[in-house]
Amino acid sequence: MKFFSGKKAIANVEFIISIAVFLVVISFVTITAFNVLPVFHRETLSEGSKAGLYQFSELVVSEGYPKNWSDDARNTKTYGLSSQERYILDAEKISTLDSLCKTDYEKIRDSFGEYDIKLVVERLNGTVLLDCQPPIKQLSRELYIDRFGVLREPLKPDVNTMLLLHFDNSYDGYSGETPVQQSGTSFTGGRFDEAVLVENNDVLSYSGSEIQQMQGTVEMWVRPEWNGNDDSTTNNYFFDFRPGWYPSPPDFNAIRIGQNGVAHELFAFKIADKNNVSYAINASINNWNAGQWHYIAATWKNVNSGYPNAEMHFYIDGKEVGNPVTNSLITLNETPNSIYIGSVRGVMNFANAAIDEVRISNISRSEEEIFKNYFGDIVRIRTTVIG
Amino acid sequence: MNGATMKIFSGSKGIMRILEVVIASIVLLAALSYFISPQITQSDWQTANIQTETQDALAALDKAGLLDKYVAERDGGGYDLYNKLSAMLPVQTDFSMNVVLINGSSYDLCCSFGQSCCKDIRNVKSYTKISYISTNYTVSVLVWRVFY
Repeated sequence: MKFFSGKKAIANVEFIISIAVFLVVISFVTITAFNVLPVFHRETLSEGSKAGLYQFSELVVSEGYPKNWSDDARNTKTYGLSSQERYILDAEKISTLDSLCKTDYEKIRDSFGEYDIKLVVERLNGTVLLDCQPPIKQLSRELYIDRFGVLREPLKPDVNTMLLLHFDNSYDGYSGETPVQQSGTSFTGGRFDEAVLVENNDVLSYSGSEIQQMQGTVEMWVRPEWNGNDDSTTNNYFFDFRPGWYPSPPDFNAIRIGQNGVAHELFAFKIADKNNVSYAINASINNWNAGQWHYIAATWKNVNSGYPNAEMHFYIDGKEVGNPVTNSLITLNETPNSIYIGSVRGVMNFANAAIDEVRISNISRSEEEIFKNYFGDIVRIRTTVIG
Repeated sequence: MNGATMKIFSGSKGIMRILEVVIASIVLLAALSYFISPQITQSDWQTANIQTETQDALAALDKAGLLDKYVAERDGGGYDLYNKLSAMLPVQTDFSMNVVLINGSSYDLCCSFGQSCCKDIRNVKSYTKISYISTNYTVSVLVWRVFY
């Protein structure tokens, strides 16, 4: 009774209530903190991972540092897969990174910082070009982002390839074909790696005895030293496929690609038949500038069929140009067996151009394939952060 | 209630103090619970991710020469562009694509549900819009997430 009877007692009650309130508040704050902090922490880590992931993906789609890092992949600071142009991937960088990853994953991981990462580059049809992941599988949360780019590659050999010349510091063909004649030509920077430079009086020729007359395709990358609208009467030929050899192969029964006319306006794909009647597809190259690479492709089929169903198509930079030759009776009665690259018969009309990736096929390749050979193939770049 | 107890509660000064403490504690708890509660907001990652991937997809289609081709050919019925974009964008997304040419005319290029519903979708869906400006046209893609 005495406890509740005086002011002192009231003070005690206030004290007890205050302590109780204090304890409740402190308990509340503590419990809430214990409940909330892990959530905040997890979210912060997650947001950090996402920010890191985006940065990694940006690095991967960049050129990397140094820009030509594939020459010395072990001393690279940043592994970017692009070539000089954003969204255009470099096939050599992809294959270098794939090889390095198989032997030294740690080196690649360290360049990206504190996270374990996975890198997969694949075509949209699922063909994997690069698969870089930790040697030991981890059961951790994974976060990924997909980026896209375009892969432009050198022409590849297939069952229909009769001759493939990369000119990567060698004149030999993919299957070991050697030039019949080579003089004066040199190697220069190519569309892919190296290319051959054919200037005045340079000769480069191969045997074409296995190449079919009935149907075929000739493709190549060219980098002329002249402009498309130069006021010049000089003729420049990139490809000459004819029977016989210098000094006196006939002009008929021949397949040629080059420009022949004033101001380079008659850039053409021609077939001269047994009677020296020319079937030609002409195209304008007035917009060509010296030093720029262009992809040219010529296809023919149903030649020597005996029926008026022969076809010729001509493509520049992946797109069909000129008026295709159709429903024609074209007959070549002598097997063209000499191929001149960058000249006519090795004696005139020199290309004055760098030439790269020459491929001759025994089928008439499709417009779609030629389009893809020039523009490249879309690939997915999946960057994954683990943990 | 005896006399002494009565005396405690009859003095208004004591009651007021206790009342003050109780009110203050309620205010404190309310304030703390408001400020400390885990307010997890929806992350914008998904939206940013979709924007990045769509932008990349359009740039890649452009660099691969396909966007020009599809725009020139009005590939709406061909499903080629639709198939390509479907393979590139996340599985749980639908999209529609509109092209505005340099002369101001516009048309729908492809859509997850066919051409006819593109306009309806623009009116009703909550979507992310990504624009890609090329030399002769602007492509706008509306992308939205779907849950199966």
